[in-house]
Amino acid sequence: MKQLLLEIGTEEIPASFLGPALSDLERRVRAALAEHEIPAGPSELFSTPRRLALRLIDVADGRPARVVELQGPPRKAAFDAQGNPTRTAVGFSAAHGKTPADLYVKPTPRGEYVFLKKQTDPVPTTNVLQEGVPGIVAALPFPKSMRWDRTGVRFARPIRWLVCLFGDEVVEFEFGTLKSGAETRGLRSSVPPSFRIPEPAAYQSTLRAHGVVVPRDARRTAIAQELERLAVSAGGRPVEDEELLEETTDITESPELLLCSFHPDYLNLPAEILTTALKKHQRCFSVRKADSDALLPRFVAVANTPGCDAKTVSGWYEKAAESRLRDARFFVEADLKHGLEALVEEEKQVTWIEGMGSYFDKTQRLRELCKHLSKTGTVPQRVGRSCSEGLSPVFDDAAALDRAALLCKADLLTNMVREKEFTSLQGRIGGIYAQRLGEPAMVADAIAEHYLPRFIGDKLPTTRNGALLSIADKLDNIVATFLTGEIPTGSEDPFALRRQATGLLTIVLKQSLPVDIGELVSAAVRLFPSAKKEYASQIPGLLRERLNALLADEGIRYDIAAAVMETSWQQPAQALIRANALAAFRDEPEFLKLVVGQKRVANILKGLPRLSAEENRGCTQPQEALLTEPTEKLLWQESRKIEPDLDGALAAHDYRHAFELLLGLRPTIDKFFDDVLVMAKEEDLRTNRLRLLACVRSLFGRLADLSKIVIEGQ
Amino acid sequence: MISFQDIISRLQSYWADRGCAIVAPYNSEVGAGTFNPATFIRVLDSKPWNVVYIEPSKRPRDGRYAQNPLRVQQFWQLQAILKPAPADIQDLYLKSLEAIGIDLKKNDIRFTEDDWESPTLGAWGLGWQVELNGIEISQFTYFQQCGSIDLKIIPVELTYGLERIAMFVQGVDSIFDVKWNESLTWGDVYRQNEEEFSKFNFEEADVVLYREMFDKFESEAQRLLKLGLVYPGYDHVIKCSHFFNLLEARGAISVSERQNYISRVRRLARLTATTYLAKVEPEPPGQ
Repeated sequence: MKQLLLEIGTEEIPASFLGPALSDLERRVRAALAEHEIPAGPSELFSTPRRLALRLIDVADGRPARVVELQGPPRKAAFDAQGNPTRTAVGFSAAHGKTPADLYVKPTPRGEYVFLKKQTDPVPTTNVLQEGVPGIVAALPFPKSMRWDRTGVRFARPIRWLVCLFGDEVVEFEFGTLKSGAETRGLRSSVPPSFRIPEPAAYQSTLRAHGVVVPRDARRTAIAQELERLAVSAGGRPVEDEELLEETTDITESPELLLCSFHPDYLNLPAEILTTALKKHQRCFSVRKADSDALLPRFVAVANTPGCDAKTVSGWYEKAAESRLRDARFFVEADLKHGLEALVEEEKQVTWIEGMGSYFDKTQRLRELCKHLSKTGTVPQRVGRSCSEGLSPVFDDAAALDRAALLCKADLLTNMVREKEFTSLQGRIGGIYAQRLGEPAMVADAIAEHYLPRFIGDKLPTTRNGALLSIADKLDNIVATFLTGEIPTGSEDPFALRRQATGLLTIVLKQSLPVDIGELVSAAVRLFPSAKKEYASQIPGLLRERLNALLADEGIRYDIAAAVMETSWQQPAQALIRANALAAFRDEPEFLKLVVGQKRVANILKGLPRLSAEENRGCTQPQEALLTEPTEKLLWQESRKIEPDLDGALAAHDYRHAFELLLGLRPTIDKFFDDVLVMAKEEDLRTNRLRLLACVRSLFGRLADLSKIVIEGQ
Repeated sequence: MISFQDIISRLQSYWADRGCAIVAPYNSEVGAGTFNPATFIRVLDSKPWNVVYIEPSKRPRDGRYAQNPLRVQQFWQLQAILKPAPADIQDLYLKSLEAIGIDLKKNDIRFTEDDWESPTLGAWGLGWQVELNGIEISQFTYFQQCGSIDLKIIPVELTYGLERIAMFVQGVDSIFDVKWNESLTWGDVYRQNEEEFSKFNFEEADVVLYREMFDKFESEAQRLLKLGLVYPGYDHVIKCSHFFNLLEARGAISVSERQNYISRVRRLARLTATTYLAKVEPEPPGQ
């Protein structure tokens, strides 16, 4: 057992590439060892911008020699009628350094075959690594890779050294023009520039002695603690920014934090703009007051040169910040002078998606969609008090929503958002400007929130108008992109439409909005005059697929999801509420009996496509005159009786009551199957009974398609 | 105090000592040193090529009538091309900073992800912007493609923003205050030039004339390149690119037209590249 160390030394790799490449490296090295059945213990991963490293503990020295049984040709091909070995048998044994005398016959499921036993050579781990590592390094995937030397090998950035040690010995291999060794490199400023790693266990300590902190977590903690200390020393607290903390961890080998200042005049700028300017241009943390979100005229820079001259370095960071903030102030002033309203007119000149009109056209569609959405919301569409917590079901602010829809894209034409560092603030800038230009909060907030959630797990809109505008915007993005024929397939989703669909549905689910997907999509498609049906018809499929995934994320079992998706997927909020209700019933024995009954009904109806689609949906009532057996009469009467109560219970989201009502039918259903022959000889009776069952099924279907529930052990 | 002209000569000598020929800026308006045929054309073939030169870079849109201390419509780049890229090129670059008085132990130097791309030249590469204490001073790029052609030998392009560097080493806050030599400032040399060209770029450039010139130079570039006259043809490509920049600064190009103009120049750049390679490194027949 030894330790294995592999360090790929590079020029600075982009921060976002490091994590995925490192876990891929570990996976591939483990796979190479596993392929040769070489056991390996736990691992440690290290990364800095200039190195990706992996240490594996307790790696076996190799796979020992052992005896394996090899299967050869069938007995008939190996031996002739007299039992003499054929040429085939001679060939097979010779190929393994044996003679036909070593062959023996064994039965197999496919007949008798000849076998031989052979001792394999031991496989030293060093050999496996020598052969495997160059291919592993070459195969690491990066979003972008490059060539740099005459051999044409590719990597994220040039590789300049390779350390590979198994125990205290170098595993020798070549990659591009490089040879592996034990020499690593320290910080750029360190003397000597390169030095030996004596053994894998000494990796961290050797580099630490030369100033490089290789464990990523240690750097992250060091940055967070020093940031906290410096902000407190300035009388404040750091503005928390996980993303920036991760990034600064990944662009330093030896973080050195510096407290810097800017002129307090710039505090007039909106805080988000200040924070973003410092973050995007200079990767600096902002500092806020200890007791509020207001900023202090301070920031913290993360340098990478221990022992640098703090005064010089922070002085230059301050100059750079000054120039950025001056630009930002210039933009804000110019933008506010121009106003948002004037930009709406200019949107006519700006193409949104080729063939899908301008941004102006888009905002006109958003206004229409928002009207549709606010109308939908006013209809009490089976929405009880329980599902609209905190949100008024009546849109007394429809005018504000319309105004927000009109102005929401104007910030894309502002100086501020057109600067690439600030594009991430799209929407936020619009909201800030709207507020500063005197628009009501209901308008400004909706503009500010209408891109939310921008990614999975992002904040959701907190206002109703923000939520509706976001839904409208995302849906319009999806519809327009589909109509250009750019439909996501497999891993191809260049316009992130799945993410948009997930965002849209997340809002609907979390805010329990009474949205009907079918109606909404049709409304959105109608706004494109020349929509191609073949593309438009595929849009609901995307939403359905995403809703299914979201239900799974909510912890809904797949069979319950299938049961509610079948009946209610177009009302996602309802689907989720029903799924949770079903999940609560699921463990009750009565529930399972109900499911069994429904499966029987479904099976009978499934095997018999004799009913029209309409009948199958349960819309055609059976003729009472043709109900001959007492049990079927009873079933029909009971069904009729519970129907109004059932609908009332569903409308009130009282699923317990709905469930109990349906459960009350169960004895009669069971009796029906015992007493009544559904497949009667007389066609009229048969059809009538199938209609009856379809009606019963439709009652259950108002809750969910219970036949989709999987019963364990069946 | 190191003057602006000292910085230029020290950097040129530094790279000359490492095998780079000192060549001249191009005699036509370019937006960046990359347009100089000493880069655009000579990185294409499979022969080594090591040069250093300064280039006045004209970016009509960046003019501010000499009113902004950090933005001008014509600034100086110093560019080194090393083909093939040496394995210790990052260290060589850092030593060049020491040559102009930047102490690497006292200052924080960082190579920050920045993938360079010139859509008009059909060129891209991977590399960094080099930041000195948070201020970008250079672009460091391993070219991968040029004229839309995969490069046979990967060169490195080092582009120094000379005004930024001079401001740092001289400790001044405005480009216009950079000391050119002992008696002149950058502003003494270029202030009037900035004022007048800003007015020209934004207000006076004749839109009709430059549109027409673009069309005519485009046809002429095509004609010359078809005759195998690579350098004269490329000269016209450079002009087209500059006319486009001027028209854009004048606000004469709409968003949808912009893409079209860019792809027209890119096609010319590609034609230049293929014509050059066909001439200097013709593919053996049958391949």
